[in-house]
Formats: sequence, structure tokens, C-alpha cells
Amino acid sequence: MPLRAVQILLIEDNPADIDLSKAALREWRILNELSIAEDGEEAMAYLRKEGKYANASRPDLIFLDLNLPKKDGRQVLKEIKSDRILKTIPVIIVSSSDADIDILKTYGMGANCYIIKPVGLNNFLNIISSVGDFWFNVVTLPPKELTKQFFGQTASNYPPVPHQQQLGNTLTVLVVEDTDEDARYVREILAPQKQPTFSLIFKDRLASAIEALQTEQIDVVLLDLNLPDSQGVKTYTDLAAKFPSIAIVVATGLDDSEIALQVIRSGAQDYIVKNNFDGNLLSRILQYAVERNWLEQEQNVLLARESAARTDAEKAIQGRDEFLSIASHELKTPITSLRLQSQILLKLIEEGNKEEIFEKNKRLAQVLDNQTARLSKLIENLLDVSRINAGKLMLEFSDVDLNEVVNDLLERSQADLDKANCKVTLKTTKNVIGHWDRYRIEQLITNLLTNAIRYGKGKPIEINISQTDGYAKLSIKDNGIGIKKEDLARMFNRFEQILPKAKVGGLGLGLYIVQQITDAHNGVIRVDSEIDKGSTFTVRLPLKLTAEPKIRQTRDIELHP
Amino acid sequence: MMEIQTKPQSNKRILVVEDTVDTQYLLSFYLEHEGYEVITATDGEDALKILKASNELPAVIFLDLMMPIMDGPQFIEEQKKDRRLSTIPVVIMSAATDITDEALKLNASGYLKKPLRLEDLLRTSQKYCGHA
Repeated sequence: MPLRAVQILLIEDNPADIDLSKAALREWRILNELSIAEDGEEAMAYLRKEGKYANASRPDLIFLDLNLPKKDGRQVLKEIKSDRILKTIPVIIVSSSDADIDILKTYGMGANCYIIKPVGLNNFLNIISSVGDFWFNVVTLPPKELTKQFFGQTASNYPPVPHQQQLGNTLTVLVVEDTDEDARYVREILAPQKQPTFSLIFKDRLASAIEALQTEQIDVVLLDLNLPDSQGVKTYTDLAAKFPSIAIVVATGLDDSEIALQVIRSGAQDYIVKNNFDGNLLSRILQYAVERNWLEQEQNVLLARESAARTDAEKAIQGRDEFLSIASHELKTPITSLRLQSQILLKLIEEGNKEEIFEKNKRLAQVLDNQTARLSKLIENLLDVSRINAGKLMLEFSDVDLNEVVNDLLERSQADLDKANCKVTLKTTKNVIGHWDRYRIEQLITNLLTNAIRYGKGKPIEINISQTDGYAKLSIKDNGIGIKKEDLARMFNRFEQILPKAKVGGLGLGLYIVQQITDAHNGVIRVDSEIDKGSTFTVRLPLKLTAEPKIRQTRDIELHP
Repeated sequence: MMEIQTKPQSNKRILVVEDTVDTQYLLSFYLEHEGYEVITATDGEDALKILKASNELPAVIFLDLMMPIMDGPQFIEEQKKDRRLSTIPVVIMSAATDITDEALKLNASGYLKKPLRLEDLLRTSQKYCGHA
């Protein structure tokens, strides 16, 4: 499963076209991860990270079909291009229309590219493939890392607060009334109203009212409770259950305060007694109902945001507590050794037992060194994470020989390898030299190697280094416990460990740091794993940074956590 | 008044169960220095194997709680199942702040808080093995 591959969002409802696109993207030379939205609403939910898409990654490129169910492709394009963050994502229109006016209009709405749906499988594959080459090898895309910096927070995790609707000059009222005379009365008294004017839609059944609400844009419903197909308070509750966000004013022939109370308590905006009002009063009642209803909707959204934010905060606190408990165990372990150590030395010195001090000197010093090294590595990792979070991971570029780095590290890890009874074989073609940050590359390989030893069950580890097309590829393969499919993506998170923390040690930062370093070098990491067979981590790094030349060398960059 | 006659404590053997090799080494170094006989295990499973194979059981087990493969609590559970082993007192070792609760919960004979202090180690050893 590729991670940090380029993210493609395909917005397309035609299953045949989806299959074709999937096949074409598999052929790409660029590692990519495809997400599919089958209608316009789903697409916008994905892009705005709403609901189940809370963890969706922002696409690097969008393929958009113009004919979509629920929300039309043009509307989707309009919404993307009017969002200050989403508008930086290139949108490629794939449409079967070759009409000049369609093409012109679509470009006018901010489309980045318009492609007429090619006929024939091979044509399709060729075109999609050249699109990939063009957008990811020729074009310089907006840097994802900087987008956040320039535009602030990325598309919100929380539902958007609706903008206050300006009460229009015309209010559309759905009058649900089965008595002709009453319907006529409403029409007559509202007709002279100018501020606002009223556009009336009349329905005489609950069923037809429901239909109208599904298809028409309606501001407020004036609802008679007693209709041929529904009677009493139930008429209101049934309609409100189906359309919880519409303003409803209930009208009945009876001045029954019991019923009035009931409908108001269930959420109706108002209750009026028929023929007991004039045009001015009804106009005001309808306007207020719309306004009040809007305020209620806004409050509901604010409440939902509030509770979503609280859940997030609670999760974050829980994660932090868990981390603190692991961190304190990890930090105390070497300290336990160190303190024992210093106490023993003191005691031996107090006892004046020189012989014993010197006899055991080497081993004692070794322990001291081991545990101090362990402690400083833990602290270094913690500092790295806080640097990354603060966007302060600075890279210093120089020519780095990958073979040299790996050989060097293997030499240094010999003691650990021996302890784990692990054999390492290194397969490499020739000198693979890239323009990278040497220290960070060392750290990346060390972390992967540490994992391979830790989870490798003492079985052989294989390291492969190769170079193709301006990329260096390094893979570390173990034959250990393997990783469950559902854990693959999660394990790159901060403080995440797949196995119970007590069992393996470490802070759960290794892969997170690996990912951040790979990102900073514009690289890609993938992992292939099978339970009980082992895991292979493959890192692909461009030999030189081309996407954002030089900038990174002189400026702090922001990394996406 | 009758005095209860306690058996002379002659067993000087201590089993140290600890996964951090350096700590394990230092513990046995010090306890041996004080005249005790120390056997070591790197996790619960290792400890059980050693205990089941030995004829002379230790006077006390110093048990780390957080270990790979089989941790401290799991070891105690297994130990209780074996009638021969269940009577050996267990002293738990942990850096946890709630170590007293943990000791009660596990029905341990005692506890040693990490980072360990030599005088606590010595006092505990003397309690179960007598003066070496």
C-alpha cells in the first residue's frame, strides 16, 4: 500500500468510466492513491472533510465529470473555485460535451483543464497517462506545505456555519390547505403585500406538500393541520420529521390552545387561527418564522461544531495522557540503570574496594554509556517531534552517498544486531548519490532498521539500494511478525504503536519521523506487509529536489503532521 | 508466653526478572556483591522456565512489571497456578507512581520503586533471605 503517494480525487458517477480511470491510474509512473466520489454532494463532503471524510487527505488533482447526480459538476466546480483553500487544487474537467459554449463556460468558472471524454479504451488510457505526466512531471503544483501557511487552517473538520440569508424581496410560501375558500383568503390578503412580496405554492394534501418541498425552493410552510390524508398534530410532526430545517407556521380553524402548545413545543415557528388575521399580520408572522428558523438552524450548527470540537479535544487529551505514561516509563528505564550504577560506584568507592572497582570497570562504564545513549536518543526524538510540529525541521543539503550511510549505520548497529541474533544482507548496484540532509537520512534509515530488528523475530533482514530515473530507492525487508492491513496507515501517526506499548518499548515516534523526513525530501514511502511473513519498507527519494528548488534550504518549512 | 520459633533463613537465592539487560546486570552485580546468590530471567516466561527446572527455589522473586512476551502480572497469575511456586514471595519493581495499589492488586509481598535505591534493595533482600 503506497503512502504519501499523490492524491487523486475522481468525481464521476458512471461505473464504466470509474473502472477505466482506475485502470489508467494504475498504469501511471507516478505512485498515486485514488479516491472516488460518485456525486457532487459526496465530492464536496470529501473536500470539506465532513462526516465520514474527516480524515480525508486533500487531493493534489481533481478529475471532475460535469454531469453528476445530486449536485451538478458545474456547481461543484463553482464551490471548489470559490473556496480560498480548495481553489488551489487543479481541476481537470472530463466531459462528453464538445460544445464551444460548455467549454468556454467551464473555463470561465475556473477549470484548469478541459478534456473531451476520449472514445476507445486505448485513447482513454493514453490521455489519462499524459495528464499524469503533464501535471506531476512538467507542471509545478502549488506546494501543499505552504498552502496552510498562506491560507490558514485547511478546510474545516467542523460543519460550516451558514451565512445569514438576506431575507429576499420575495418569500416563497408553501400553503398546504384543502379548503378552497381558506386558500383564496390567504392569496387575497398577501397579494397587496410589497415588502416583501409573496410567491405562493398551493397544495391540498400532505403527500403533495412533501413532494413540493423535495423539488421546490421554499422559505416557509403555512400548514393546515386537518387535511384529507392527515389530521391533527401528527400532520405537523410528520412534515417536520421529514424536513427538520424548514420553517413551519401551523394554521387551524380551531382556537385550541392545547394543540397550539403541542405544535409549538414540537418546534413549529408559530400557530395561527384561520381568518383571524389580516395581510400585514400574516406577512409579519411568515417573515419572523423564516428569521427565527434561520437562527435556530445556526444554533444547531454551532452546537454541532462545539460538540465535534470537544470530542476532538477530549481525544487529544486522552492521547497526550497515554503518551505521557509511555514517555515516563521509557525515560525512567535508563534512569533506573544509571542511578543503580552511580550508587554502586559510590558504594564501592566508600568501601574502598579498589580491586572490584577496576575489575568490573569496563562493564560498568559500558552500562553507563549504553543508558546515557538511550536517554539522549529518546530526548532527541522528542525534540524532533516538537521541531516538526513547530515547522522548524531545517534541512542541510549536501551530496550523500547512500551506500556509505547504510554501511556506516550497519557497523554502528552491529551490537544491536548481534543481540537480536539478526543477519543483514545488503544488495546494492552502484554508488547512489543524492542531494539530501545526511543526518536526517541517517535517522530515517536508523528508525527503519530499528523497527526491522525490533519486530523481525531475529530472522534475516535484507536491505536493497538502487537508482532509476533520478530517484534512489531504499528498501528494508524483515521476516518478522508483519503488520495487519488496518494498522498500515495508522502506524505513521505520532505516538502510535501497533502492539501494546509495554511489550516493545519505544515512544511510537519512529515511523512518524521517517514519514516527515521522507516528505521533506519530496519522497514517497510505501510498505508491503503480511502477517507472520514480515514487512518491507520502501523509500523512494528524488536525487535532487526539483519541486521547490532551494527554498527549503534557506527557510523553515512547515510539515503536515 | 511462648515464642514462635522461626526457621533459620538460610536460602540466599534471589530471582531477578528484568528485561533491561543493563539493569539486570547491575542488580545481580550489587546483590552478589552483598553476598546473595542471584539468578536472572529476562521476562515472565523465561522466569517460569527457570523456576520449573530448578530444584532449589529462590527465597524471593524481584519482578519487573513491564516486560515483553510475558509481563509481571501475567507471571504472577501463572505462578499462582503452580503449587510449588505459589509460595515464593514476590516483590514487584516498577516506576509507576501507583505502585502500592499495584502491589495490593497483585497480592505481592512487597514493592521496590524505580529508580531503585541500594538501601531499599538491601533491606528487602535481608527481609526475605536474612543477612548474607
